[in-house]
Amino acid sequence: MDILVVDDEPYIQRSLSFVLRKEGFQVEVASNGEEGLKKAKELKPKIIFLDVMMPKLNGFNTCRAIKSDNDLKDSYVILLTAKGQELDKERAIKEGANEFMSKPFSPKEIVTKIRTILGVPK
Amino acid sequence: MKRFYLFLALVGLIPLIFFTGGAESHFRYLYYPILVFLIPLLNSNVILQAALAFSILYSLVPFWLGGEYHVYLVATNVSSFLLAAIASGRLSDIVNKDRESLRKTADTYHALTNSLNLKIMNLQSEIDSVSERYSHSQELDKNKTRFISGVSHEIRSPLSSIRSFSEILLNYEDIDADTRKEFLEIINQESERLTQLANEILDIVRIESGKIEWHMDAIDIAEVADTAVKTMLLLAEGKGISLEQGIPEKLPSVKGDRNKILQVLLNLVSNAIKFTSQGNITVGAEDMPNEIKVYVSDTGEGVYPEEKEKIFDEFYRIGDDLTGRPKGSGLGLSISKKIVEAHGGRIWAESQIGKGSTFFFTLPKGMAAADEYRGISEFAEIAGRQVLVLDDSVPVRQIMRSALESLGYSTLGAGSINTALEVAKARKLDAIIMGDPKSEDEFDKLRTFSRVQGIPLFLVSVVNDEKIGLQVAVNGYISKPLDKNQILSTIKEVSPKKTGRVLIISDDPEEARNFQLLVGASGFETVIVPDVKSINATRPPDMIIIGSLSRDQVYMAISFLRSNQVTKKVPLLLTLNILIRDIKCVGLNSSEYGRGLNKLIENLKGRV
Repeated sequence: MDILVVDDEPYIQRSLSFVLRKEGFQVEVASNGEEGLKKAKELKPKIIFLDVMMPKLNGFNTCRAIKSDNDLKDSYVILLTAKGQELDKERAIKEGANEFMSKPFSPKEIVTKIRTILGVPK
Repeated sequence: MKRFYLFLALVGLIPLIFFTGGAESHFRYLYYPILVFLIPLLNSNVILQAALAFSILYSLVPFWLGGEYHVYLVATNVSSFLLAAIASGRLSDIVNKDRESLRKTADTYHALTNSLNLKIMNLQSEIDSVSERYSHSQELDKNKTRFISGVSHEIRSPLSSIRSFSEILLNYEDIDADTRKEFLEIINQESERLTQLANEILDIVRIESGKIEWHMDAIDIAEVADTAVKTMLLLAEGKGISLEQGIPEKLPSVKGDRNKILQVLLNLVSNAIKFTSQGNITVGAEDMPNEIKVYVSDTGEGVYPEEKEKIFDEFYRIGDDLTGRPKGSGLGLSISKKIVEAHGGRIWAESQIGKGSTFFFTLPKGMAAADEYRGISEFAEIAGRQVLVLDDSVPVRQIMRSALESLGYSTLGAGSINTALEVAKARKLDAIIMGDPKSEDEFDKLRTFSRVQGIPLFLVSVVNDEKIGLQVAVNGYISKPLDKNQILSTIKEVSPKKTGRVLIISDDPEEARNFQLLVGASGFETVIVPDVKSINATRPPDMIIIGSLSRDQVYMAISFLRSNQVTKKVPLLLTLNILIRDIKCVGLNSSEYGRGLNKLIENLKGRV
């Protein structure tokens, strides 16, 4: 399992999963932190996209849970947020996120990034 | 009393002198110096004459006693007495002058203390105003930052969708027609969401800054509700929800902006549809004694008690807990609240989780059109009168101002007590109208100011109890909902004040201002002119205060005022650095100078 996209915004889910599938990756989606954590444990994805502002379990807490889980701690976590604030970046680092991206982002950028992470040549 | 004792002491000397051998005794030499020192203190003609008589009699004593009669003795006695009398006159002059200068010093000191107190008061209020302005601006900044961050968050979501899907459509050519259409629809929908968001933000900013134009008219709630229901019918039916109306017949019309009220109803109905999956939604109204209560009830999910207030906050959204939450900016209810409050009404929610919610809002009755009761003469009387409206809510202020303006008042607005004080200091006001004060202190401050300046203060309150209102208010009390008739009669009663008018001639603005404060504190109207030439009086003022002009200017002012028909008989008050004797020559009588300002004001009050 390659990528898990956890975001409560259906359109973000839709666009990200569409592009990533189009590029040949295996993608799963979840709509909140709780669901995301469950799916992550089940599927053990290499990369996890986590939205920060999410109901039930927010991105920071989900990230912490992932990083403290022995099975999941090697997953590459990318935090997504609609706010481009420094405070969020610090928090993202504190919670052990591997990367931080602010919305809006370009699908192309994401694809390039994922290729680098997974070491897949174009 | 003092004189009496001195007199006794003087008389008491007589037996002493007889006892020690009369005028021939050496003790008589003691008598003269005592006389010389005592007489000046007596300062009374009767005693002076008595002393003179005594002095002559005394010098005749040896004659009566059979001793030698000496003319020189009589001469010595009389002449030393005369010397004593002359000396006493001088001394008494000196003492009087001392007293005079002491009194002048005391008066000057008093005036200085007064002006110092005023300065301290001004300074204190200045400090208060600066610190309050600072904390107020900090609060504003915080709110602004919160709002902007909310806006940027709300903008990023749709923007991010638009960007992603348009890029996908541009980058991948092998997308099937259905998916292509789906993505285009998302882009379209999201750009619409952005447009709506932009409109709502604009609405909020406009209402907050008071730049929105309210088109106040008599509105028929039944018609507005009908329009709202018809507009939303398709959306409701699409979800299988029935949308009903429950407006009673013959509902009285209320004053309001029809389109804005429609906006509130549309917002409430669309929220109801959003959060209701089955059942029905009712738009209804009730005729209450002072207001019309409009409601939108649904059989939806309901609102948690702790969210009942928060839902009216900007960017607060219900449904965050739901997957696939309903879309919205989180501004709708906040705008509705602002609109309703601008109409003098309230908005709130009642709800039971799982059973549904009812959103209520009220619109006050009684805001009848101004023309119904305003005669032309009243209009003329009001025209140009300036009223300051103080309330921290922009919409409430707006409503009050437009009510007053439609009556012919010109209005100024202030959001805080300190702005109000600043405005009041800079502009001539005929009245101040304030909403419910936020704190006792704040109210006290304004009340004091209103008293000092003699500007009538009115309280507009939701407390519908005139007694309470009159207890706290200075000059009048207007209850909410605002009734223009009440405003008119309350203000008119107080505004054309029959107090005295005081003319202040001073080229020192600070001095003039101090006088103005002192005189104004007693409720007098004040006019300040820099010099006597600027006086343009057609009716005599009740008092003229001449400030510390140069001596020549004071003479000129006094002779001008005394030769002018209008100001001829007006009492003058001079500042104390001018010598009294000098002024006598220009025809000022003694009642017009030297007294404390307070006494003059008392006098003036008696006159007016």
